[in-house]
Amino acid sequence: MEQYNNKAIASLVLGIVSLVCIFLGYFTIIGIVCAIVGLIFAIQIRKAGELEGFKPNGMATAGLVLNIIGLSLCALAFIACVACVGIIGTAGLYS
Amino acid sequence: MYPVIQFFNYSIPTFGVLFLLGTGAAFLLGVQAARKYGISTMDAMFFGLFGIIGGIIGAKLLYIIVDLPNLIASPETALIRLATGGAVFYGGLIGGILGGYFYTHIYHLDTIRFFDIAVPCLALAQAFGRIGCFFNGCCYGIPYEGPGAVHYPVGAYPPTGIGLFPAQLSESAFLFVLTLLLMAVLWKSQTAGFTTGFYLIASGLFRFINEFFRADPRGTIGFLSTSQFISLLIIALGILFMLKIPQLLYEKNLKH
Repeated sequence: MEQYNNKAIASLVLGIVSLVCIFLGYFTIIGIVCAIVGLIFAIQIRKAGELEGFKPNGMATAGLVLNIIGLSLCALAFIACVACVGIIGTAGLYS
Repeated sequence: MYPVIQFFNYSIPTFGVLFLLGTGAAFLLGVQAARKYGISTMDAMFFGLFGIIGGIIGAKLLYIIVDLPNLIASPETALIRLATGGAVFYGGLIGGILGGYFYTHIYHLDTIRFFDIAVPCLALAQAFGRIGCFFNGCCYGIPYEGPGAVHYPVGAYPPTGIGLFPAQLSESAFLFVLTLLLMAVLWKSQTAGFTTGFYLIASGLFRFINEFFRADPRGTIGFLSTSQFISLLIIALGILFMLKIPQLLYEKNLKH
């Protein structure tokens, strides 16, 4: 249980960092990396809870939610119609 | 037309907003679709999240591989270029598939059934993405002056002053219909993998035809466009799914 508690704290912290990174302009990629790692931790805890029969604590749930929000908002800048023209949609983002 | 939305001091790309809307809608649809095989909401959601994580990593990784000579040649701008643009669609697709497979593999779930519930969601997200393309101005159609012709304003990315075929909207409309069809097929089908095959064949065929009505520069292989060539490969893969060959290979070699 101890390791899951640590992972829950890590996930929550990474989620908060990823949310802060939304305002970092060029370096929202740091937020994406944090959110991905935090999300993997949160998913691990949830699945372990299901398989081992314990209820994940509030921190793990908060971590999951914050990481999902952080990932989607940080990725907003990077999602472009890459199959077509690259990033004309995002060109104005950093102007 | 409207490539960015102004929100206070921020310019948000319309494509990104619509893609996020599409992803949200796809998750909601995925939860409903998962009922078919009795898959829990949590598993369906985590499979989608792993797919997205794999997609982001794959798109970036392939970009680094493809652009490595340029990145080495000008290391002073490499960090900025890595941090901002640069993602390769097919890297994202392969990464997404691998991400989803990875999730089902580590938790001993049936990958083919997860793919079946994922394809209607993928079609829905794509449909929203194409509306984003329309606003972005990319993927525009051939010159055309009939009902529904689009006239982009001066300064937009596509040619202005002439009517263009709404190729993005036709694909989007098709994908919305395909989503409904796929849900019906998913509910009726008795074979795992059939829905995936149906999606691959239908979307590949439509993309192949729709490419004739597109005029944006996107490369050619022989007399076909790159997308048409890839569509043919996708149709072939769809036929294999219909013939249950990937399912058999998965059962024999990859399942747990």
